[in-house]
Parts: sequence; structure tokens; C-alpha cells
Amino acid sequence: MRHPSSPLEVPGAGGEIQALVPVASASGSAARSSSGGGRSGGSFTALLGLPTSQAMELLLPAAAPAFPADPDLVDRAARFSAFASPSPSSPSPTPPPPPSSSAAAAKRKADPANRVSKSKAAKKGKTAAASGEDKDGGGDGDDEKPAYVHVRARRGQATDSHSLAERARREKINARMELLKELVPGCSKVSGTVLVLDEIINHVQSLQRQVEYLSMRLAAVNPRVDFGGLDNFLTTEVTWPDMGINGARHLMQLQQHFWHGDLAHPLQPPSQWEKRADTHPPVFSNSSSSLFGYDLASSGAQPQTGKLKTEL
Amino acid sequence: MHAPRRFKRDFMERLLLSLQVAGLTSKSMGLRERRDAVRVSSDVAMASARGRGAPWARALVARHAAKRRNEALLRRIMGGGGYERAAAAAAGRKEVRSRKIVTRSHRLCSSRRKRRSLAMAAASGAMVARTMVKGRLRLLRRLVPGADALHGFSLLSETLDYVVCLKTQAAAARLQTCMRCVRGVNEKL
Repeated sequence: MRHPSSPLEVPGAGGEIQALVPVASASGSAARSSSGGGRSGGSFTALLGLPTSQAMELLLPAAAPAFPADPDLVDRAARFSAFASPSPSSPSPTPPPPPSSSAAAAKRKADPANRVSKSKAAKKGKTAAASGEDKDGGGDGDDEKPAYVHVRARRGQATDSHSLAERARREKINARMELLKELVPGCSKVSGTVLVLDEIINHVQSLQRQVEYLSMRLAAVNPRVDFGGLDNFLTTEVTWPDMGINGARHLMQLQQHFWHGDLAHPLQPPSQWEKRADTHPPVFSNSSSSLFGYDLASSGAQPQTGKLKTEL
Repeated sequence: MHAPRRFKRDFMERLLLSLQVAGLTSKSMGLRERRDAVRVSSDVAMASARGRGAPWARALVARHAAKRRNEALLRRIMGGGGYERAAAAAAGRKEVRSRKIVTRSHRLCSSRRKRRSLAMAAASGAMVARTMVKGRLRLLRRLVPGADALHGFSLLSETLDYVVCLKTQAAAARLQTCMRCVRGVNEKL
């Protein structure tokens, strides 16, 4: 049961979703049949190494009609791959694999990710209980979650079942913390559980406050207009002919940022809005990223932690 | 960026739909009422776009359903069946919460005893860190809807989910306000 202890390599142009499937030997057929690309080591960091554009492209449009009945796993899987570094390494879009295998692979990816991260770190030791192995390649329709988790003990550590289970649990929790660290901005340089949790709490609070503020603005913007008047315009990404030029450009930028999630381009300062409109509070910042979150993060979390301490 | 595109689109559609319903339902002119209507509709849109897979979605909707004021709006948006389910969830949660309070008070008493007994022993770094972590987790449970009874791994999963959806909700709301602002401005000109 050898798996390649290959270094972490971002799959190349030919790297498809099979490269993400944890490469234990059983899945060799699926993985090795992939045309190009290194076999990524199958650990979490390998998942994170996949460029966003590829992963999104592979996962979402191709598999959209054929999503399995468990959207939760697939969402989580999409998020796993979406946490990759934003630099697109391969310009050529690869032909997406058939939806069934991609859907099955997406499901499997979220599921045995823990298993694989453990087995990758193994040097020697014995495996835990017999497993329900679902690592064979090819799209079997819906996998059931395996009954047992395949764990390998690390070198020089206790191998009784209790500590193994504990270790499994701890690894799962650490994996989740990694994901949360990726999600919350400014957490990657912080180490230690407490500070990371602090940041997460700050972020959640700031997001909630943002939503409240934005809903207040939304309510303020429509004094007489009924809320739903702009259906047709807002869901399509077509330019509107009757908008002003600057307005259309701003809005197209905003919409692109929303759909594609690219926060790299700052908007032009909306000075003309402030001149004309009267319902704009001066807080409205240039960046399309969060209004409060990034500002707070940059200016330090001092007021937040003060508030936190009083709450505690 | 993090949420899949399908979810964003789903949510946006539902948001527009529910906003429309909200505009039809409440002819109230008060700013606060409108703001509440907007918030309820956007929360419901987010929860329904997320689907049944996440417990925070049910808890969020149940939280809104528990207030009597939102009843008409919720009925309109989710239909009668959905509202019944939300009301049932809201009622069911109260007993769970009382049980949770009892168990948590037990746990607090026992931990206070343990802390007093360990007061003699040096407050080791691990102990301090663990209590801080527990405090943070308690806060998190209060923030994330429906995460009251979750521990450890599931709590973190719920927060992950919730944060992603909050982000999309904020982005969608921002888009909406900007578009409506610009449109209003253009109409004025």
C-alpha cells in the first residue's frame, strides 16, 4: 500500500480533478490515467495548491447538472479547492472530466481528505480497523461514508485505539482550523488557537454588522420604489443601455467582483456619487471588499478585543 | 470567491424574489420596519439557498419566525408549509435550550470546583489556554445561529459554512444597494 510521497506539486495543465483524488494505490488507475500533471500528494496542502480558476472551472460548471444529492459535501469540496492561491498557473482550460467522475471525486475529496492527510504522514505503524475502502477510481454513483477511518500511526507514537482516535479527531479539528484561517483574512500569520479564534469571532461580528448596515442602506435607498423593481437588470451581466457611463462601469466592476470574487482591483473613487446622491454615507470606501472588516483588520483589532473582553 | 457560483446565483435570485415580496407585503413607510423586512428577507433567502444541509439555516429562519411581527412576510416568502416548519423549529428549540442551560450550569459548577481545587496548583499555561479557548468557543456558539449544541469539529464546520454565506450575503447586499443607488441617480438626471 504505497502511496507516492511526492513533494507538493501543483498539477500542470493536464492536471484534472483526478489529481485531487487522494492517490492511494487503489485509485491509481484513475489518477495515473490523467494525462499530465504531477500526482499531488493528496494532503490538504496539495488541495490548497490547486489554482482557483482550474478548480472552480472543473468543479462548478461541469458538474452543475450532475451534483450528487449531498450539496453540503460538494460545497465544502468546492471551498477546499477555492482556497488555493489565486495565481492561475495554467492558462489553457482543461476539458472538464465527465460529470459523474468529477462529482464522485468531489465527494470523495472532502470525505477522505482526513484519511489521506494522516496516511501521508505515516512512516511505519499499523493501520487501524479494516476499512470500507472507496478509493477505487471511476464513478461509483453515490458513495456511502465509510464505516471506519483509515488511520496510520506515526513513527514512535502510541498505537492503541484510543490515542489513534484522539489523533484522528485532533487532525480533523486542525484541518478545520486551517480552513478557517484561510477564510478569515489576516489569520495566516497568527499562530495559536486562541488568537485565531479571536480573529474568527471578530470577522463574524463584523460581517454581521456589515449585513445589518447594508440592509439598512437598502431599505433607505428605496423610499417609494418597491423593492423588486430591478429584477431583470440585476441578475444578468449584460450592460444596460440607459445607465450613465460611469455608473455602468462601476456596476459592471462590482458585479464582476461579486461573481468572480476577484478583490484585486480597487474601484475608482465614487466621487461623482457623493456629489449627486444624498443617501451615501461617507463611509463607503473604494474597495469592493468588506467595508468594515479590512479596515478593522488593518487598524488592529484593539477596539474589538476590548469589547470582547468586556463580553467575556 | 469562496462560495460556488451556483450558490451565489441562487441566493441572488431568492434575494430579489423575497425583496419583491417584502415590498408588496409591508406598505409601511417606517425606516426601521423596512430595514427589518429587508433583513428578514435576505436571511430567509440565504437560508433557503443553503438548503437543509446546514443546521444554521434552520435556526436562522426559526429565529425570525419566533417573532410575531414577521409572520405575514415569512408566510408570503416561504409559503404556508415552510412557515409551519419554521414555527415548529422555533418552538422545538426552546426545550432544547432549557436542557442545554441545565447541562451547561452543571458543567460550570463542576469546572468551578475543579478550578478551585487546582487553585493551589500553578496555573499552567495549558490550563489557561484551554479556558481561553473555551471562552472563545462559547462566544462563537452565541454568534453562529443554531450552533448552541455543537462541540468541537461540528462547531468549526458550522462557522466555516456560516462565514462563507455571510460573505456572499454582504456582497450581494452591497451590489444591490449600489445598483439601486445608481439607478435612482440616473433617474433623477
